[in-house]
Amino acid sequence: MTTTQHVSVQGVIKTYREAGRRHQVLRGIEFSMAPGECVALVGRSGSGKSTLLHLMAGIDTPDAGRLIIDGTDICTRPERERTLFRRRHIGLVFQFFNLISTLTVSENLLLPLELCGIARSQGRKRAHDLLAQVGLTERAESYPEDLSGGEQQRVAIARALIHKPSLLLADEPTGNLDDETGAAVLALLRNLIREQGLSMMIATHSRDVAVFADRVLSLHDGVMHPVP
Amino acid sequence: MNTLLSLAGLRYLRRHPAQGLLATLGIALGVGVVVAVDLAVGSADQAFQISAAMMTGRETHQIVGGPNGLDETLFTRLRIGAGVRASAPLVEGFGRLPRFGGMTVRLIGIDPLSDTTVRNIGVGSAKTDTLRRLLTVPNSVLISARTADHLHLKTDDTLQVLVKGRVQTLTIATVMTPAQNIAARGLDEVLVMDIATAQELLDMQGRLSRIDVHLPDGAMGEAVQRRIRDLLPPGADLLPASAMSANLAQMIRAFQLNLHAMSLLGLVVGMFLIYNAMSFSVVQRRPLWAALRALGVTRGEIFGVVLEEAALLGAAGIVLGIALGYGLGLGLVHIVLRTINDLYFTVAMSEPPLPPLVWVKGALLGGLASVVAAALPAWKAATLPVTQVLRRSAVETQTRRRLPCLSFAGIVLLCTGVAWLIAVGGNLTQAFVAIFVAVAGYALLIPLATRGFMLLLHPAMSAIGLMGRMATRGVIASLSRTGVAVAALTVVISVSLGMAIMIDSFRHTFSAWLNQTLQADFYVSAAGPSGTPLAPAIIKAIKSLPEVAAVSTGKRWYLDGPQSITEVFVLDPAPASLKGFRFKYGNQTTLWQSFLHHDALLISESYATRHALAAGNTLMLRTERGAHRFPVVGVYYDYGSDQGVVTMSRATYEHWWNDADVTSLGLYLKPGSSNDTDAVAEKLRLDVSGGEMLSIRPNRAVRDAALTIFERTFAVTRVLQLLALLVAAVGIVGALTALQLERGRELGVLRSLGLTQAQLWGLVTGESLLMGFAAGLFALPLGLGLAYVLINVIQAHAFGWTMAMSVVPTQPVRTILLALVAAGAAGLYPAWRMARQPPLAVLREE
Repeated sequence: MTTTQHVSVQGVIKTYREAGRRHQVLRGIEFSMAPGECVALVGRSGSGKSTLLHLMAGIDTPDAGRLIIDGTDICTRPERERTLFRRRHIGLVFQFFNLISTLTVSENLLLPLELCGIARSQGRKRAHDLLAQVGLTERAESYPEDLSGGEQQRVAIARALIHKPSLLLADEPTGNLDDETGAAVLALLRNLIREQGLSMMIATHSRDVAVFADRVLSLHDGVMHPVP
Repeated sequence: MNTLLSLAGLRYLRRHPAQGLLATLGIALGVGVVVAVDLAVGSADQAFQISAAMMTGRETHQIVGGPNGLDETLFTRLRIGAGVRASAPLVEGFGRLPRFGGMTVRLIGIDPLSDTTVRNIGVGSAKTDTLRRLLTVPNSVLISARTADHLHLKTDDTLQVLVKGRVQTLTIATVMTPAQNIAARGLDEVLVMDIATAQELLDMQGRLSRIDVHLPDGAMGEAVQRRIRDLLPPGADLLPASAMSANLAQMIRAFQLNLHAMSLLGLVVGMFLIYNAMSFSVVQRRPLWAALRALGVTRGEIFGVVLEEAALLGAAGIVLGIALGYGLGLGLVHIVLRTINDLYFTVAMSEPPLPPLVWVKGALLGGLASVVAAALPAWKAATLPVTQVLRRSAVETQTRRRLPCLSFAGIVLLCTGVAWLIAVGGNLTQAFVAIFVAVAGYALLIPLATRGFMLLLHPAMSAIGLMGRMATRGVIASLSRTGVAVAALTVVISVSLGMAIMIDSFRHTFSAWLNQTLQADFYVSAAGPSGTPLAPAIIKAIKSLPEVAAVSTGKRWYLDGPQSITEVFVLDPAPASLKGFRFKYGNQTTLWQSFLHHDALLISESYATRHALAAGNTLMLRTERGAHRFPVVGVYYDYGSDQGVVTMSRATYEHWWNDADVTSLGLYLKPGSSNDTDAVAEKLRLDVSGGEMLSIRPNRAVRDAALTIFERTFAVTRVLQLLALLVAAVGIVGALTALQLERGRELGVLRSLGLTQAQLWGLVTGESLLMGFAAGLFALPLGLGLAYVLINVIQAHAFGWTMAMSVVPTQPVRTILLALVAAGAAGLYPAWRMARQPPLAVLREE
């Protein structure tokens, strides 16, 4: 790995056992990402996009290969260390938002900060600023269930960015939104990561979403192909 | 613990109060049952100890005699001759208050002048005038302020007491208010009088019940003991005071242990409830755990959040449980004390005390149960792979994968429990633990058995149609939840079955024994407390009645010993009495010859078990002619006393004890007269009694009274059994509600496809009934096994009784019906709730 690389994925293999049969989802994935680079990962449903993102987030571990992020090979770390790494370095955006339904919008944003040991009083301003950036200041005390899908995803994006991670992983962030809302969310995402200088990998099955990315990678039958 | 993290969990409980309530209720009921039983047993203990403490002030030893007590000159010789100044005589007996529902009171005769050297009954603080009145006014008594309040009496009031078959009028000399609470409670339902008054009332002129002495420690005390022993006549003994209390306490130990075991069952079932509620709330929040894990929350933190919630619910449950326990305890105390009064000894009925240990124990058990029950769901929440979380079948896949391990653990536990039971011998505590282990093992096998049973039923259910097929598949598909619900119901139903068979078997055995034992047509005794002798003139008059063919006489008394109290029954049998005995072994004719003519003893089965005796052994008894070894010639079945009885012939008794008292008669009527028992009873009452109040009870009445006491004895068991069932029913409601809510989307889809409310209701109820049917079936072998163990291990060792296990043929059907009713009733609410939910709402909720 060179010093310019932020993420380095080397020979990653992942196999699942389904109905008693082994199913190799990822077959020796190799790629790297430069700091601040935005990579779109395209592929059909079941192609392994989510699996790769889960591996990069340290939620799951590969059967073989290395996953180096910010100089740390997260595959060699025990589960607790991977969790703490994710807590500090990674932001995650999901297709189904995964907001904490029992916390208000502002509390959802403050949660990652609290987990990182940052006092709530310190985090409030940043939460307020981020909510202003996603245009939801007035919904700070609402519960997620009171928001529309697009609003929920904007909160999820703010939450993923609040603790200033170095890498944002977005798994089909517009998959559950209508076209217009999806486009607005994507624009917001693009602006925010550019503004903060984050690296981002965004998984999608739609090539349209990949238009704004610096680079597009395609996952097909567990093998990674660059898309020209 | 992180604040927002905790908040996320706690707000969930606020949004889903039913789940929190269910878990809280589970712990509350469990803790409540434990506290109630502890309270009941504790108050029985305390009532007993208070009664004993009142009599056991500073005394270290007691001088006791035989059935006639002690000659009162012994006290003079002891005090003056041997110089034992710290000694006080006591005359004790019981009477009844006819105007107060026949309430039993203890009559205590003391020597006010010597009493304060040893005891602290409270007269020490009485005014000189009171003492003067007690000594000089005939039939004057002291009474405690509490008893006086209870009976609405005051100084100078008179009180009628039935003693020795006669109603006596006593005058209240003063109402005492002892400074210490314990002394006040010890004097509940006690009438204290001068010793001479007591001797006259109790027909004990010149006799004492016992002498209490305070001896110094060490060599000096031993020297005094030797001096006392030199003074003692044959038949009297000097016993340590502590041994006397221990003997009484030991009598009710097995009874208490049984109650504690039942109360723990309530707690275990309560744990099922918490497990269910916590497990459900954890499963329902899988997306939340996944989201938190994705945000970087560690497994430990998730585990902590769930345990924190459980601790909170547990705390609420404990507070509620303790309040509930006190309420239940108030009811149970009276049932338990009445049982002890019926079966063992007389204790005063009093309100339950509030020992802190009971609350602390309840709280600790409740806290522990909450954490233990929540640990597994918490662990599941913490370790469920995040990548699988969004897959709905992840938990069920895991459950199916773990089924063989779970079942293997079940087999190991079941075998361990059974092996332990075989090896345990007479240790009751270990036997109960072994039962719990075996039952836990059996419960772990239930999910696998449920799956197998549903697969077996599947073809038959398929014949009903799609709904039938879906019902069996539904139970299998949600095994993580249905398995637990069926296991909980199985355990409670089987315990219920086991207890029912045990009680039925006991009733059957007891009833058969009563039929055999009660051979006489009438039983006559003096009215009032048992043990009152009948006047010889009355016995003579009864024997000479033309209607009477034969009379058997009996006397029951208790011999205090250093190790135990021996109940002795002195029998002068009528020819027909002999049929009343059934021997464990040996030739009946030979046995009777030895019994009647050779100073031999018969002992009851429980006495033989407790004292490891058999026919051919000898038994040492303290007689008025010195200690004597009596041969034991036979062991007979007896279910009247769990402490056992030693039976001797009247000739043997009168030879070794100088006493001709008879306390009961068995009347055998001539063939023609036995048809008109009412007329004979009337004749006995009018012509024979001579002013003495007699208790004349026909065979049937004695039998009914005995069976009433039998039913009262098991009243506590029934109450606890019902509570356990209630806890289980709440658990099943929770499990089924959880199950249906979890399947809300699936049911919503079915509704949107055109399933009517009635069909959906039918589907959900059908699943509940299937689960109930499975639980009923699974409960049968466990229930029968438990009944076998309860009869042949627990009761045999606790009480030393042989009982024939009798299973009513309808019992298995009743058991399955009970399970079906419990599950069906428990399924009503979830079925109703899901059926009336608009499909769109369910789908949107998802």
